[in-house]
Amino acid sequence: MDEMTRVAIIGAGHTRFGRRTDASVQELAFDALREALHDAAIESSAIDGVAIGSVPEYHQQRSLSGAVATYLNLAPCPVWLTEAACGSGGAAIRVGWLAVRSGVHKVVAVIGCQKMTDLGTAEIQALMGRVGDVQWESRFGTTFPAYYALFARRHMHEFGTTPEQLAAIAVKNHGYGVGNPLAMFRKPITIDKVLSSPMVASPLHLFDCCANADGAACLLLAEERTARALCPAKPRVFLDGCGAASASMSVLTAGDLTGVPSTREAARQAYEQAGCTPRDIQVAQLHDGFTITELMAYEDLGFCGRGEGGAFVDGRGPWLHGVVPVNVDGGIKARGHPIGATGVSMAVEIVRQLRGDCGDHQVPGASLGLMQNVGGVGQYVFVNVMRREA
Amino acid sequence: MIPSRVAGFEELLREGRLCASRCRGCGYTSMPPRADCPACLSAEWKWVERGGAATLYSFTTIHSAPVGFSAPYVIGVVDLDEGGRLMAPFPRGTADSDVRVGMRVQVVVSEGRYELRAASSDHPI
Ligand SMILES: [Zn+2]
Repeated sequence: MDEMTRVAIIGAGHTRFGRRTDASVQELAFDALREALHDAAIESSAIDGVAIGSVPEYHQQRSLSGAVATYLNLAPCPVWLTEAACGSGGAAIRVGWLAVRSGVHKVVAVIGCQKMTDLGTAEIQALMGRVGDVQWESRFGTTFPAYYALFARRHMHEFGTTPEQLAAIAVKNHGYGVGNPLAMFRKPITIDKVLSSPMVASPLHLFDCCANADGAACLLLAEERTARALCPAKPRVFLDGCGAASASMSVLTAGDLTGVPSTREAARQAYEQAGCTPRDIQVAQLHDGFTITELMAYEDLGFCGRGEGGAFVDGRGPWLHGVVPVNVDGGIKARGHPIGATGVSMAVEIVRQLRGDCGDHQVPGASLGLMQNVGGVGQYVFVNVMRREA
Repeated sequence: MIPSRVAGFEELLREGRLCASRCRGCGYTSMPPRADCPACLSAEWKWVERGGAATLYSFTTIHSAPVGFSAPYVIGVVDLDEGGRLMAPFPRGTADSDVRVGMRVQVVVSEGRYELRAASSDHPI
């Protein structure tokens, strides 16, 4: 790291994900913030900036970040909303990191929050389809699963990746979700169950896809000296690599559809900043909005070679005792996907892993972790590397 | 189509023509068409007609459709022989098993729309 300030993560909070008809989006955000403040053992008056990750079109409330910050009672802190589709939470972490690292802010609350289940599936499908190019793609009835289906089909064609290998990723993540009390789904599934589930967009079955959900997660980021003064006792986790990149939002101008170039670029930045390589990563949270998305991430992050994602699965590389344990809290597949909250949720899980707080799904001795949060088909990617202080 | 500088694409489709854009400044050709050249920044451009012969890059059969569409339907992404890439549907009734990556296809223009048909002499690449 250079002479700029190092960014510590001093608090983490995470609501139960799922169909949360019991709470509004600002109430869920409050739950996540309250838990993060208790975790850090600080007063909310220590916070001097708020970054909120959310996709506003799912909510009835306009000017969402104002409504959330008001309910959190954080005035006069400045508040920003970041929107990057399913990467909105990762974008909020990036904004918080920039604010602290620049020295302008001392403690920033990063809150990902989303209510999605107020809308019906067809409405959501229409919204998600319009993540693609409305001029040249959405007119044909594209859906979000259809975009990743195009990647999956091409990956299968070029590298021989199989539906069974994709299904194994879903089986892995749902299996780990059983032990996660915050997850939406807590039942194990089988390869047969995935492959016999209805086709959503061939070759992706229902269980290759994630579910819309409601929920919130919160991280408290602090400048290093402030962190040491405010929280002298906790094992300290630092956000040492914060990479961000974009790529074409259209499959018509994206070129190759067997990987996500923005993941490769964001990862390059994050590894360089943190001074590590893919082989050093001991635990990872990857964006498994679809099984193919997680598989391509193994390759794009350098956990295995290009085209070797299927073999990496066959060798159980991403399982708890594998080469790089991936999504051992159940991932998006089992947790559910409140899109604005997901990126922050991933960071919360890595923080807990690095502190050794993960019980049955703890990766023993993990001190370096990574998260990758993707918006759309890669138009926004955020890769963060987190390190526990030795 | 939404209002845009290349909305004339639809007019040309109704005349049975499939057209890309070509920059008058540097010759940059784009399909889908675009009015503003990303290479030389020129705003001067013209239409150039395309033959529509293409190779299927990837495809999916959509079973869970958005509002206003009735599933199932097959959508393909094709690389045109003359450059550029388009998304287009296969005719209704096409089955997933009728289609494969690498097959030769034709972008067919009719009644102001374009769709994909298997080329009569389809040889997989
Ligand atoms: Zn030009």
